[in-house]
Amino acid sequence: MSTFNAIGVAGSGVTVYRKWLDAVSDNIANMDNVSRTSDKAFQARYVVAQEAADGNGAQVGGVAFGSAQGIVTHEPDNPLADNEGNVRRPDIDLGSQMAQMMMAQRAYQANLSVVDRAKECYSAAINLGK
Amino acid sequence: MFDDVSSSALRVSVAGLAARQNAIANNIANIETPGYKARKVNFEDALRGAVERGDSPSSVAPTTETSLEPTRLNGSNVNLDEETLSHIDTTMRYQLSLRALDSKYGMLRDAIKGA
Repeated sequence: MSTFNAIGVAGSGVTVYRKWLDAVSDNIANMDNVSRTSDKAFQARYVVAQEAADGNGAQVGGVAFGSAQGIVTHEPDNPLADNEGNVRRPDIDLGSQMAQMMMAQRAYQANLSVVDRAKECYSAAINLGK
Repeated sequence: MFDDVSSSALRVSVAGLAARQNAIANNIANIETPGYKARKVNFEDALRGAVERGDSPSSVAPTTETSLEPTRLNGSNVNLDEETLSHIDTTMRYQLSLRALDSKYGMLRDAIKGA
């Protein structure tokens, strides 16, 4: 256990939820991508949090991918359309991405306020005996 | 001189509160971790028992147990509201214990310096 452990623990949480926010904003940025039916659709990424191996904080345990199949839509005017006039679009639901973003954002803020309060404690301990 | 009951009880409470603060930081860091179970640190009951029995409080070590709260859909049972309140409470108690310890040491300092 390091001297200012709680700050490191909450800091690891901040990192996990920042990565989560990055993944969600990437998903939203790419949700209208169009690809040929012969290619894969853009796959949404979902961060999976995990407890750190030493039991101090959290880490990104892995990433789950959304469907590569996507949704095939009929858009004959699209330059990427195949002979039948179909293209592939990613299967990403904006509502669920926004919900994920709010979750990650709140968790990020909660971890930052832990850092803030831990800092108060440690500075009180540093001033002991003055 | 430094190991009277009140000083060592205060030191145990500072150590216990620091452990609790760590546990809460860990719980909040893992709030979205699938299957994570919140941890609770307890030392008050053991400390009270030791003081009542007249044992040395310095033998008391904080114990950690797993929360039995119902889990959410992702298998984690961390309650952000509860953890936040408990963290604020722990912060205040920690500072209070430190201040009490500090004034104890202040008295010793005055005694060493003399009138």
